[in-house]
Amino acid sequence: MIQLNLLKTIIVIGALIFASFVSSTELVVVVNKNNPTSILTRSQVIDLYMGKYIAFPDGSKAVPVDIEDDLATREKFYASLVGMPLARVNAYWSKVKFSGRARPPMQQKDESAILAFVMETENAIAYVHENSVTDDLKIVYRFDK
Amino acid sequence: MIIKSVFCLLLVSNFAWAAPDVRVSGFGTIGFVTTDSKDFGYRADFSKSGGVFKDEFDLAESTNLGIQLDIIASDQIDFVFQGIYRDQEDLDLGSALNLAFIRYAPTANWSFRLGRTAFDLFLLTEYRDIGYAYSWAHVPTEIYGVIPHRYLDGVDVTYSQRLGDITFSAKLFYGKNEFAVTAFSAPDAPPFMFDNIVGLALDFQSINWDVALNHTQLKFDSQAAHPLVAGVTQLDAFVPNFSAIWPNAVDFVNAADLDNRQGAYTSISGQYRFDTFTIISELAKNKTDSLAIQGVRSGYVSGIYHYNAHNFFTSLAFSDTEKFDLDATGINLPVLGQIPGGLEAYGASKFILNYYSINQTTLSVGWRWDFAQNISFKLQLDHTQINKGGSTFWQPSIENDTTENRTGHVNTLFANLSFLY
Repeated sequence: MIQLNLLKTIIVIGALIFASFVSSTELVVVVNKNNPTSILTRSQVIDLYMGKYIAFPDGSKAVPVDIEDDLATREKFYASLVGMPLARVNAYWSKVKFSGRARPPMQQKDESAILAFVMETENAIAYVHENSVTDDLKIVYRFDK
Repeated sequence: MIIKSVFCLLLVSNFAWAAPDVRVSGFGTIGFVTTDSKDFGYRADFSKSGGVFKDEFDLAESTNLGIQLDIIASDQIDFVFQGIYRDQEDLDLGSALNLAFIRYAPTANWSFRLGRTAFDLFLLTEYRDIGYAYSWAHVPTEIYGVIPHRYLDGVDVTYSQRLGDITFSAKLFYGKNEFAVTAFSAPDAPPFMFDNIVGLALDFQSINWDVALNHTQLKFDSQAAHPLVAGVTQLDAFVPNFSAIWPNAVDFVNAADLDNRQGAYTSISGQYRFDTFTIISELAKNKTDSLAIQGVRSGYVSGIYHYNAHNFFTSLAFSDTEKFDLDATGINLPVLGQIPGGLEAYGASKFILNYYSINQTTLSVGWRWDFAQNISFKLQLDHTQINKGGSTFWQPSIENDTTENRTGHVNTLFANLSFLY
């Protein structure tokens, strides 16, 4: 009986640790903690990252940031956001950029560079892993599980 | 003049902003074309004087290379310069410079541009040379072949706004442009100028669908018909009873002259994105107040199936040109043939009336494989049915052959490698 309870406890703790791990590696969209934006819809995040309307809901200009070196993270972000592989995202941006309509998001080398940039730039917006979010940042969008 | 102003502003800005952010990027396509026709020579658009016939393997029609310089002076001001090589008839700085503008965007809603911008005539006009941007091997000939003009020298203002889950933008533009235009396998391609271009482009975009409305009005600047007008006026003045041989000849040639006439270009387009399937369509209408281009209705519908890195597509495109029937005006050809210069004037009139005639339907099937994130391979087969009096897009095999009513069909195979860098 004692052994059965111990087994149940181990399973519950293991499940909690696993759930915590999965949650912490989810991508979230963040802004500087001083940014007045508290929440964004998927449509608003798409507008920001696809160059359609690059502003926060209060109308102030935004600076979207892409990750440069971590292609897996970038692929995961765009697949979650617009359901497209990176090649199709690049095709989309080639028509927007080379027609002179808009510029693609600026790039930072890795997640630590992105975190540093958003912490010092009030109108920046970026996607990072949830376990990297600090008190200097504010989560404004979570992808549906 | 406008382009020089942009370069001057760039020089001034170097003093005003210490360290602008400069980004260099580019695009290109290596494109191969072949056809199965010895009568109808394929060309990419009306600016091309060459043609690809049966057993020929061409790299010039679809191949291009572009480079773009983005200079970001501040969060409100940036400069964009783009050069492109696309087998131009006359390659010089003017024809190679595709974009050269300064943009002032004081807020997210408003943007003002001055200089050379992409001509926003129809849905795909702005990025017709960016092969990587679309799934097909080429933009639909039926709409885009007849108007090769790429850029606009002038100004535009864009207003963007979110309306619920829809993003709306309206762009008003003004300016002029010119581009080489040729037909009938003529060896030269003189510039055809559009003046006083005023256009409005409206875009509505949501997560899954886009709708665009474009309307442009412009004035033609072309002296191509002036020798004909002068010649027929002379015939009318000096040949007795010429009005009985060619009724209303002077009125006709004046009405067929494009110079200083107005043209109107309108299109409505849309696309819907399902999870693995995209459908895109566009309908366009060109109308002028000259008999030379009475009206052209054209359009296409295309379905694209996305499967991982592969995209399979099929398209149906059409173009239908409304033509003035010169032979129904009561011309007495046997008698006209007795008058020196009479048949030449008749032939020149036919030449002008047929110049922009495209009556054809194309069924396309193809495959795009994105085998890397910035490189794609495309294979496309077009089957084109050319109908009565509408073959001018296709080059005749004989130089300056203006034979009317060439009909038939052509199969054209494209293999492209498009890339970004």
